[in-house]
Amino acid sequence: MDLIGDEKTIREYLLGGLSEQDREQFEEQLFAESEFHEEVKAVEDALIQEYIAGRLSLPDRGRFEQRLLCTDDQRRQVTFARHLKRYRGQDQRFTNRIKGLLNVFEGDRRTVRVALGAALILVAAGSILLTIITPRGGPDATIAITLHPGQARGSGELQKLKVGKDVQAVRISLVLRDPSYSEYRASVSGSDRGNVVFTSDKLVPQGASNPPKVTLDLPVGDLAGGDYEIDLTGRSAEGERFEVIDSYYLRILR
Amino acid sequence: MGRTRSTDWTLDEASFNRLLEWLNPDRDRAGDCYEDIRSRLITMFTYRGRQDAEDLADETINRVARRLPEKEYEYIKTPLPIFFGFAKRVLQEHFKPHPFPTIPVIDQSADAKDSEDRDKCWRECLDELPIQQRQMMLEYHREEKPQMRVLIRRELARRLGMTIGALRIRVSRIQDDLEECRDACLEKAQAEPLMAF
Repeated sequence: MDLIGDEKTIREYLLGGLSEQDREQFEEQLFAESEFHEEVKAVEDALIQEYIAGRLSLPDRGRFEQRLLCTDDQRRQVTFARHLKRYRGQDQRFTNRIKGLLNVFEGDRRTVRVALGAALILVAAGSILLTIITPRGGPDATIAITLHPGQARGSGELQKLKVGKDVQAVRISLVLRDPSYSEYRASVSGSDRGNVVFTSDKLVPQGASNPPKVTLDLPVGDLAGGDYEIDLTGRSAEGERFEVIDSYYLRILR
Repeated sequence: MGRTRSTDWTLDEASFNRLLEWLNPDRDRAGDCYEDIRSRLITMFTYRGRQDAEDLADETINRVARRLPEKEYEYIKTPLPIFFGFAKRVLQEHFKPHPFPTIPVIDQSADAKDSEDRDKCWRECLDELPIQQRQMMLEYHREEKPQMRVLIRRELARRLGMTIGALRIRVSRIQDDLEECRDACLEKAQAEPLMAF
């Protein structure tokens, strides 16, 4: 789907980069067309996400703060987006912790641990059912794959994953070459690299996995058949910025 | 008698009903239409850096409502350009040479204000939301590229049987409720520092 408006122009408008004449024309369209209005809102929301994730360039960050943080309501939106993002992250970390705990119990046959494991499974299943599965309106069929860094496109080692019609999500585990970062971010893009189809923030290595991995769940709705690149960035314990760590490659067959 | 200044005129019930009738003979649709127009006006004034965006939006609506008894408005079937025209005039009359702050306003909510209590309150309030509302909120604000966001929102609106504008207003109301819940939670936390959390 294409936007009615050009995304770059919408960004420029929001960041105050249009001339007076262009701005007036833009606003006329913004006011007259519902769909265009929603597109502008969507671009604004995406800019807010980029801002709170620290992904805006320095000049754009300055323009954003001047243009999109100047009213109480705009600041309120940014604060809200930040908390919503944390809420999602905590949800994801909770799921990862449960998975980590379940791995600890894997293979241990002593009764107490089995009982504890069963109880944990029940708690986890209940919680996950309440917090994740139920809101989506039905059971998820998830398939999993583990990717290693550096298996480059065109090297013949590209991993392939067949995604059937019933599959709802792909669980991708990324093997970490460097597990020392406090948290990770994975960004999935199509073969042209510029087309980011999914990002997952605040990923933390699973407690018991060896080699260490981070896991992200990718909704299949976001994936067409084709080649994908997953860029992994990490934030050091004291660092404010994310550093590029590794890239992973995957071919989806639909 | 001199002409009444447009800013002195207030929207009474009869004028408001006439405005709604003009927007759409169906009262429910007229209400949605009114909210949508007001929301667009606020958006536009906000993008112009106006702290008083809501007041300017209301003034624009008042001016249109005030003119409605005039014969020429009876035949206008597309009200949006009318509102836009009045909005431009309101903006000119309330002109501010430098609406945007010259010194960037840094959002400090991540530092001092975003205390642990605040985080917990947000989480608690989001957890307490009825599941459909939480799902609607999370889906509407899914972190995606703009095209995907628009697609998701359109699909969500279609599933819920409403326009995308009505969906945005619904989500905004849920956000208002969440903020009220957060404020109450923070007040409680401050009143009972030892009991809280």
